[in-house]
Amino acid sequence: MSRQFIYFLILSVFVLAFANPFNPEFKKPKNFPTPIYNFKNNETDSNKIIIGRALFYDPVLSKDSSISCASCHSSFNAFTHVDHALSHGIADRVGFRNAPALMNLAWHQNFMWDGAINNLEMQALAPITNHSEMDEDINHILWKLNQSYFYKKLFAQAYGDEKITTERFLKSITQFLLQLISANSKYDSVILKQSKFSAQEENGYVLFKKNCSDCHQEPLFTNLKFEKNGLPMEQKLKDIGHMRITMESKDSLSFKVPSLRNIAFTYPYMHDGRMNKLQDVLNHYDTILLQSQNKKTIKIRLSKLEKVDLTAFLLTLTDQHFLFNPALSFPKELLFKNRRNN
Amino acid sequence: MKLFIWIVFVLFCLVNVFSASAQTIKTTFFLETDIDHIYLTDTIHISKCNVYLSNFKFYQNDKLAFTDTEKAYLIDLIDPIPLNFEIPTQVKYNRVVFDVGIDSLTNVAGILTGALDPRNGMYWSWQSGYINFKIEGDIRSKNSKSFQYHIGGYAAKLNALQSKSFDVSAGNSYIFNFSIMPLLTNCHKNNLFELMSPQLKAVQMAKVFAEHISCRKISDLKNE
Repeated sequence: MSRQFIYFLILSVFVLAFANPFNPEFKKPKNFPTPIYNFKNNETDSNKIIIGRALFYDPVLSKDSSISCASCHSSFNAFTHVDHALSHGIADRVGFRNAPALMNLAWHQNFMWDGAINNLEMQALAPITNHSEMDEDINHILWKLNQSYFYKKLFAQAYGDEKITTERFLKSITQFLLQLISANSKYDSVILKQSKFSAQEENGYVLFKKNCSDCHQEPLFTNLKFEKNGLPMEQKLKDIGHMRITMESKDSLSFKVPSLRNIAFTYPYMHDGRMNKLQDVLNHYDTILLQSQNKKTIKIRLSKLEKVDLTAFLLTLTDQHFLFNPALSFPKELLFKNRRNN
Repeated sequence: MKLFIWIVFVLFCLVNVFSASAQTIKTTFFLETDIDHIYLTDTIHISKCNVYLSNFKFYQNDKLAFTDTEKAYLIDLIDPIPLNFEIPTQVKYNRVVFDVGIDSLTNVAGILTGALDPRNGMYWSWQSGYINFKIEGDIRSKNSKSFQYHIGGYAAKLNALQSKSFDVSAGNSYIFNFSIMPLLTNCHKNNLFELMSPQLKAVQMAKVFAEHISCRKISDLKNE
């Protein structure tokens, strides 16, 4: 009897040590820190991820059913709007900022260029209700979804009954967003000692660590903070950045540091998309004096050749597995079937 | 047989003791405002007046005696429904403490349900955070003008949460009175007709709003 009990104890210790009770569908990359998102209230579940994916690609979320989340966050561009400085929402209304790339969101505390959103679960409400984006109302969306046989079936599968509430709706979208993990670039394989940088990339990496990594910290390539990057205020938009939220003048013109992962695919650059080429970005930093939050002055001065090497390194942050992952792209099998059934 | 009778007797006593301890007494807070009075005596018409009251706690002197299980109540002050608290009879208290608005921890907790469901219209979507209270209406005079105040904010200096505390005793019912007019006078005097985001002015307004919440016992009323 007592021996059985000891076996049981040993077994349970092993199970607790290795099983991850809160997020069976969430795979933390080896070289990443512990995620910030609280999985306890929203355990990952394949059925809920499917709902989130369907919603992400479904224009039903916009007022006139013309655009979906994916309209401005396309999978093959690391979930940003390529070639658009400012994205446009319904009825060709032009937005206020450059659509940010969506990657590794489980590691972020706040969202948007100015940090307006404090929890991943609440993020979707912002573009849904924004006048120049989807211009929709949460009550109306829930009404639409509760009419849909397709969604009622999916929610019943995932939550036990077909009731679609704000909580279930937002948690499902969050489940899909948590799946957008980019950690399979050449850089990652070098870090995990599975491959090697070329000499040029290696030199670029050294330059990167010396000049850029204060703000673009590895392995997320952002320190998740708000920084001033020396860009003058754009006169039409008059965007004051983080100060819009904190109302503190010290936060004027500081914006959330974007990740550099998949940077070759996320152009144009900066919060208002004012720069089209990576070269423009490097030239900008090459000409200004930066001051980090801890009052350290950073002066980046690079020769032409160094810029080439740095660019070579930045290209190793491209993650083909992420960009062309069929599990994250448009769910044909779901949404096309939907048309027939409805 | 004797033993069996004893066991039944002991069980009977235990059930009685437990059911007695589970008994609760209802404490009711009725809510009233000066909205009707404003409408009758002034040119101001209030069309919307919603407020969150949250974190109800009952204290005996300085010791916490009872915490309400409900996180927050969304109250429509134009047509308010009384607040009822079922408190176990053996709990002694002489003070009630609650918040006007939603605290910062709740504000960052992600999606919540019930009174805190964002579909209730008391959540900002462009910037995360609950609206602690919302007053909308218009002035129906020669120079008619509408006003809209959505007051909230939870972070650092912009925290608009206000706490209230009143002496109360078990078994009695009370009236919370919300006097809106002082806030409106204050705003209109300063030409402030729209304020819909977290900011220092909103914190000031939240203070004025909370200052004019008062509490009185129902029996006091009868004696008057």
